[in-house]
Amino acid sequence: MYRVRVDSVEAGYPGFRVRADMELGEGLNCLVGPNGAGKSTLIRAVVGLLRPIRGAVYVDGVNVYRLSPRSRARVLTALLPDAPTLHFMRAIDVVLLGRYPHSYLLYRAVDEAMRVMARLGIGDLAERRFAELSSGQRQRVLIARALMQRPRALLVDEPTVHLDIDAKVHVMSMLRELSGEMAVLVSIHEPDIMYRFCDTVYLVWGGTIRYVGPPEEAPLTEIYAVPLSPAIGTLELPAPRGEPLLHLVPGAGTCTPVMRRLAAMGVPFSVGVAHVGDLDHFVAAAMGAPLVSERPYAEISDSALEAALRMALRSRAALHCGCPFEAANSRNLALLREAAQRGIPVYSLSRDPPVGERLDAAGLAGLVRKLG
Amino acid sequence: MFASLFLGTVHIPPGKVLAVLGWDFQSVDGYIVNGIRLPRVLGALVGGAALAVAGALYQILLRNPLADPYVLGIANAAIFFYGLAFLVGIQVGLPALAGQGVYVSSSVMGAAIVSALLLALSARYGTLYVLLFGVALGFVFGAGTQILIALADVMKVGAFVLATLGTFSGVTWDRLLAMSVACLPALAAALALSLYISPYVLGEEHAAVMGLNVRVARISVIAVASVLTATVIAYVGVVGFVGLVGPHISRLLLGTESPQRLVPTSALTGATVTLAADDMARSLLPPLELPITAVTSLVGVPVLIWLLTRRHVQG
Repeated sequence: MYRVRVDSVEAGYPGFRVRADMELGEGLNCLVGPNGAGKSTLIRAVVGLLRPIRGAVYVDGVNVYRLSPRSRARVLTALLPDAPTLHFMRAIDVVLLGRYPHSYLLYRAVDEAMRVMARLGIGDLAERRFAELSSGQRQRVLIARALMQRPRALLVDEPTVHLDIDAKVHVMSMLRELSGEMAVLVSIHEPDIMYRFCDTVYLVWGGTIRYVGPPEEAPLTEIYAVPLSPAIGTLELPAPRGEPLLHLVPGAGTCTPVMRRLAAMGVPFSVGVAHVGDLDHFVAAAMGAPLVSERPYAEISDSALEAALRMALRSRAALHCGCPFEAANSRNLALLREAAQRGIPVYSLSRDPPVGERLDAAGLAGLVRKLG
Repeated sequence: MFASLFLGTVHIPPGKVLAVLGWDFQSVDGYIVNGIRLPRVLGALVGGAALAVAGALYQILLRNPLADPYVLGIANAAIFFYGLAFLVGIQVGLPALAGQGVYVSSSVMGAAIVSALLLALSARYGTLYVLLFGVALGFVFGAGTQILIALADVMKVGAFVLATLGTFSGVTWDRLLAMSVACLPALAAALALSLYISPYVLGEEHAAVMGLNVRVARISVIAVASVLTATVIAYVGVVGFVGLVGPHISRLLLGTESPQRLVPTSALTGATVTLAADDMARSLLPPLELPITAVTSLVGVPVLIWLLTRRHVQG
């Protein structure tokens, strides 16, 4: 396995600097950070497109800044975000260009190019015009081009922008696979991609690398204003502020789509009682909604029940998201009955409501309108 | 090419042409074929190839299909410096050269000065701006040339205008030889360069991560293209449109923008278009000769439009 050491590289433009120390080891290395944090600047500096102010990049102990452009391109290369505009060239012509650092006579490497394309599952695209390919296919053609250079390190700047979710997963899986053969550093900014594909995360923020480690522990919440639920790896909208209009009675993830709808509509809500570890609990906590929790699988305690009841009584209506009632959450049913008795309208998304008036998913917006 | 030898104000039967071709400079027919028509045909071939290759190089470098020596102002600069030498007597470059060489070195210097300016601008502002700067500089040098003409001796102006109007009629063996001495090595250099700059089609940054030394590529492309442009201008004057249309025709015919294929084929299409245009220039309204630029445009434009629309229908 090749080792890449980015040694105090400092680069930037007037008014903007980014500096980094990195040791790219095995697995997929990801550069994560908000727009303008310096991810692209860093990648461009490491690969030599931008003259660094100081520092060095070593691949297997060799300082690549000391190499000629041609020899450097045999050691490391980059995939840049903007796909080139080409009118005529076929996919294979583009792949063949990757042969350039090894030989000026590109067309002698047709066999190798076909092998690389077949390996990446794009052998059938060889004769197609590059311009006619989808963004995902183009990205794979460009990866094939990079592989033709036979680099020991591959840097990829935002490979997933403009791609649909299938193509995103495809391209990222491909890069992960390649990370077994060469050092791979990918800049991304989607947290869901980060949690699912990255082995080591380098968090870039404020001109420097603030965190190096596994994605689960990356302190994304310090960087992004939008709430994230790290265990699920998705972003959530923040819970709307204000006096809750609806109190949601959760369970088994049934309230998650409801909370997302309400957050999108800007309707304040409260949640309880939710068991820790329940999907509803992750999402409500990430959103920052008023929430009453109970330990996993434990029967709901008196204090939790009381707190949730107070919440329900302060809102205009209570909504049972449809979770069936069993031993651990049976007191949530008691909560709903008590609320109904005290004059709070109770609705249920369950097909067979144990309490309250039946509501289907489409009826939620109507209910909000009626209450608001 | 052979057909071109048969065309001319003086009618010479085809059999006679073939009989005298290549050896007979003594008889009238022989002199017309070997002394006048043959150098002219070869001159059109070399000049056309040179201009089209220069155009192809500029288009690859700037990644812009509009680029050619005229659009970029390089031709206008060459003409201005030619005028400076011819009309005013100010020589830039190598004063040791005698005769036409003086003007050639002046035009090459003019082309080189503008090219260097464009290079510096491209390094600072990126290649996108080069086209705009080039167009602007072209107007500046065009204006300069007009001022020179206004101030100069009337007799000289006539000769200057004729010399820069663009015609292959003045190409003699001597001139062909001199032109080829500059053009053929530059064409060979362009062929070698086409291998060197192949990653350029993906754009400068992609090319750089593929190991192209972008600075070397820029400088050598502009140097070679300037020599080609300025030499043709110094010997035959302005031959417009070939630099633009030659590369486009080969791009459309070949269906590729790869420099490795574009540069050599542009030489062929440029030579062909120019020769055809020259044939028409001297045979449409005999014994009058039309300016070559008028004919290159008249021949080149329909071909280009036909190819462009044909491709559009397919696409």
